[in-house]
Amino acid sequence: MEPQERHYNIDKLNVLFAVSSLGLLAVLGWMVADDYSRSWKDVQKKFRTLEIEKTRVKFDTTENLLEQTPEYQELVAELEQARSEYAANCAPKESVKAEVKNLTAQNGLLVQEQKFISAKLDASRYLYENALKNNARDADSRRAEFNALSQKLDELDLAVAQSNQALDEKTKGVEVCGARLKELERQEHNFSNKAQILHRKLVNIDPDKMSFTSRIADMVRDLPILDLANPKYKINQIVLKDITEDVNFMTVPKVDRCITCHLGIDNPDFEHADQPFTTHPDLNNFLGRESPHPMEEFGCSVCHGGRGRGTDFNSAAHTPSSPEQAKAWEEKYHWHQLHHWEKPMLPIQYTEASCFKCHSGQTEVKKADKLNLGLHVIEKAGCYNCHEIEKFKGWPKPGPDLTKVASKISKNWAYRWISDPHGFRLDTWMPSFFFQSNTSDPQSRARNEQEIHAIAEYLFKKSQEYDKSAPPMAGDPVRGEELVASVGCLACHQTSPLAASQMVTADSLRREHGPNLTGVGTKISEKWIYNWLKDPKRYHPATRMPNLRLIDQEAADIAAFLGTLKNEDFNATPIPDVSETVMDEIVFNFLAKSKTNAQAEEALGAMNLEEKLLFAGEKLIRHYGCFSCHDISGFESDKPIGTAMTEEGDKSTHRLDFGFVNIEHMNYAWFTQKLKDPRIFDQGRVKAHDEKLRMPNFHFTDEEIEAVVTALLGFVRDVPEAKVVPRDARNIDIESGQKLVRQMNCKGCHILEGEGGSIRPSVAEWLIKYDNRSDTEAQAIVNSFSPPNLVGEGKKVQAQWLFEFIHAPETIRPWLKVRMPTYNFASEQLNILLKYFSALDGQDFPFEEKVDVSLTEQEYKAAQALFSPEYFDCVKCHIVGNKLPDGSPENWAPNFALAKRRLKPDWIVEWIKNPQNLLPGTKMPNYFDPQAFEASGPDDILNGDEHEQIRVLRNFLLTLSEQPPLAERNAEPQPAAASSSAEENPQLTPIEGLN
Amino acid sequence: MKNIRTGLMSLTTGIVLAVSTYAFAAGNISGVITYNGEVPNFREIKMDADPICLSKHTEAVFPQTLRLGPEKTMADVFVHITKGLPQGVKYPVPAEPAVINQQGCMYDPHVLGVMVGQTVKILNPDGTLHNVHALSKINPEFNLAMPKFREEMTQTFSKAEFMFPIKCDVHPWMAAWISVMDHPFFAVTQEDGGFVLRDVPPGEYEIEAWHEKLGQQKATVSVKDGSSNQVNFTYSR
Repeated sequence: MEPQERHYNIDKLNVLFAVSSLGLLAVLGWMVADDYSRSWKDVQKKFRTLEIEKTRVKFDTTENLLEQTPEYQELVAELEQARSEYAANCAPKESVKAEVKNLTAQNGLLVQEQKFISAKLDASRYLYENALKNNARDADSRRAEFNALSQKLDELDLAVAQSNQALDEKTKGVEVCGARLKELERQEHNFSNKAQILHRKLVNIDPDKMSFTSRIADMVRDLPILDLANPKYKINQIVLKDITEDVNFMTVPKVDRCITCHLGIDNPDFEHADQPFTTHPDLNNFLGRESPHPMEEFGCSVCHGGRGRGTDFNSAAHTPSSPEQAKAWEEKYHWHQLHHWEKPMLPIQYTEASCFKCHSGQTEVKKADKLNLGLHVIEKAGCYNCHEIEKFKGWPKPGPDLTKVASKISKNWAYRWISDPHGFRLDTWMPSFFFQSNTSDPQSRARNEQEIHAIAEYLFKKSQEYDKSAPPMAGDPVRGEELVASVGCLACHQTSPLAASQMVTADSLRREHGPNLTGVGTKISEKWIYNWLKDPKRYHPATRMPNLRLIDQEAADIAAFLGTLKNEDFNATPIPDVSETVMDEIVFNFLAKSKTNAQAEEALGAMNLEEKLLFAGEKLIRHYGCFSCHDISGFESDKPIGTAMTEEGDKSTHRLDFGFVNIEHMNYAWFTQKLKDPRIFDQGRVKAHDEKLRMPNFHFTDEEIEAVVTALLGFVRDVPEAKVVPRDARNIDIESGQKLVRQMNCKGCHILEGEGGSIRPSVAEWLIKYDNRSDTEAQAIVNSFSPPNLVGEGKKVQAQWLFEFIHAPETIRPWLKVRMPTYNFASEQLNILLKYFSALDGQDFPFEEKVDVSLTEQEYKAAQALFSPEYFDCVKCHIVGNKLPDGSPENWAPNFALAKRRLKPDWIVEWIKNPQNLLPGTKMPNYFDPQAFEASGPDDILNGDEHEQIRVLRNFLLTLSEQPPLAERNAEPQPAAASSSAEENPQLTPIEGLN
Repeated sequence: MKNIRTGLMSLTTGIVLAVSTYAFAAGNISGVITYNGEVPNFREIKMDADPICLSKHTEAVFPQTLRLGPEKTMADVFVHITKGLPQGVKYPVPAEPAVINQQGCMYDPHVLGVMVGQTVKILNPDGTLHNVHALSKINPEFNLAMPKFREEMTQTFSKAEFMFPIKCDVHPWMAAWISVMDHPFFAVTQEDGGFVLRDVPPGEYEIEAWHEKLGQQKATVSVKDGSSNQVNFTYSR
């Protein structure tokens, strides 16, 4: 055997090369195939099938509908006929055309000749005239020449006229012939337009309807490699230039590829399709081109969270809304959490959290009911008092002032209340601090009992004096009950517990803006209630309880009625004795924090029991943070005790202590658990008593918890700046107004921005119970007996008047039992309200239009006639100065003497024209029929010109003299507070507060 | 074409009606409503508020809440068929307008049934200001003034709506009830308490009596060819 020249075998190597190149080819193929196959393509294919199916159905129904429309069938028949007529009469179109062409040519020749002859004639005229003057010899021949030309021109003129006419007739014939057909075709197109559009769409997407070449192209364009040009199946994305993402030291525009799979998201036809093709709910508000949040400008992940660039189920960071859904997803999509993405999608139930990013200034975000409820609950529960939250900076403390508490309640009652507030009143916002899940063992219970004793001792020892004068007369509880039902107490308080089953809504929160008064007679004395009603601010300077200007008798009656509301069971709960041993332990613990044990022992030994209680009380109030919600002497400058929450939604999971509680490791799950049982994360922990979790239990319902968690998830740092509701003057005015409106519960009585008037059911009850109305009747008239709807208030009243009215209300609607209270607003607050109303109605505050309200003598007479009983009989209901209408006050209408100060002249015109339009349901009738306005005024005044009649009537009303309205009003006392505190009154200068 | 179709439609309706009226000889439902209970004392209406109203009456006027005949038969009870009528049948609208009179600052009648689309003529012979405030919920609410110079006006209601009040805000005691019906099988009792629902096609029906204060009562009736069915209701309190 010849020795190998090479130390390798070429044949073997060939085989090896062959095999490996085949292998490499296979791998290449595999690579291309793997690169080509994407899960979103399957989704898009599915969508295409669905789309074809839907379009076919839609096309068929549209066509069927057309076939069943007799008008269309008639039109088609007519069109057919017109076409055949056209074919018959106008069709020799070609010959007619040729004829027209011929005629036009002949006509052109004639006109040309006419022009030439005319020019020759002019020349000949000159020669003739010249000959006459200078060369008489030639004159004759020149004249003959001139005459011949002149005659020829006449002939030509005639010929041109004839030719023109012939041409006109011919062309017109053709046009008329075509016009009818054109019109019919246009009509047909209008009818079948929709079907045609659908048909065009089908031709584009449905292989059955495509031409052969299109079908081939349709197949080829999606082949591997060829698909780089213009494939059917491709990634769709929205690039948001003004919203950026921080990708490690670089900011890039946000890109959302969600619509690669969510293909029907903005198409209303897919409302009932399965995910991922389902239409987004409420396209008028979201995604729609005309909506405030068009898809092209907002994308998807700004609101939903998740990874916008992801193009398959997992890489998009979908989040299931429940464990069941998680399980279903695991099976269907092999779903797993995308651990390295900080902002996974919000579970669907918390999506409204994102509204807060841009709408954080608003008190209520339209359409975001859950977020609104969450914010409302946070506000009612006073979360912001312990946990700093930017939005609620400067909000009032929700609990009552305790600096004079000894004059209000007994120490025993205080003990029972602190130990179990819900035992007294189920729906109180005062949370439970004691005997919770981490303090339920006997030792902790014993300690809690003594802690409560110490707190109560401190509050009562530090309580200041409060003078209570006895009511000057005995109160009648029956009258008191009726007053409570009528004067407006029920806008903020209830006197019976709300049904436990009742869902908490914005409306129910408004109706319980103040505490529910169930059992209040067990808690406080009639005497205290009397003094409180007469002047709430004397007891609690920062209270939001307004003054209803009750006269002594009324206040005494209401106090007597509230005194009858008892909860004796609560007063029977036993109170354990003060135990000095346990107290010593508590005091020692606190002492030992800053002293050595020996020093602490010594200090403890030097105290008597009372001192120990007081010492422990102060420390405990600080420990539990009672001062956050209540004013307590000695705690005026303490800081909130909880974690700040302004960016709580950003808090990542690893910063939350899940302890030994087995729940999903997500922030929303932690929040939910914490709100359900604030002490749960102490489970299984070994902790000293004063190290235990101390957040109190609010006994939230599941709905409330979900709402609060929604709000918390919205408290984030990272907001799309470009999309935030603009910080312009108008929005700021509206938002400040909304805040004040919420704090003072204006919507408890009034309808504002289309919402509120929560007192109405109570007014209806009053009508049934005390005014002897049937259910139906009460429902029908409840609006006119309720506080007014304030829609359009900014357009309606003058700013100066509104300022004065809110400061010191006067009677406008004497038939209302419910009263506008006195709030003692500072002038800054009054200006906030003024600007709010002006901004809502787009008024130019503080400017007001000057309107000419003069009247000629004749106009004055006309207005007087209209005003008189012969015509509109305005004084039948309206008060004028101190002249009252006949009959009982419930039929009266506002005083005209107020009009000049109160109403804007332009508004009066609109009002007289159609009051029902401005305020549906008003008692003011339409004098002018909106259906037939021009014919509805009296014909014999100002020539029956309705606009003029309204104008002169308006001007006349503004002349009516200003008298002190209802000087001898009996049931309407002067506000005691207003007269006694004249110096404290805010300056009545609405302009001053402007900047 | 449209005319032809409307014509056809009314012809069909006509046939349906004719068929139901004659071919199957429809029946009547009649009865008497009586009151069995203590007659409450009503407070006299004080019309002092408007001297014109006062001048129209020589005797004391009482609310029309419970008007009884000599035998304690009840007026102002509205009786109508609530269930059993075929769906989708259009009944002809009476050409005669229904009339509400405001006479002496009282509505006459106190309870009125009209059909959808039927003209309602409202009269004001009082020579004082009234306003007609219809507190309807389904039909658009309206509130039209009828000052002295406007003695008559007309309204129509375009949707069926059972019982809504009409009020005069000037004279608070004035209240009437209107029911807008989509079929003609209803009646309002007079002081004799009697009602007749005429020409009801054969079938099983639920009828209801309605009174503004004493509420609703129901009964079932089976109407056969040419039969006359008696249904009485008794109210008590």
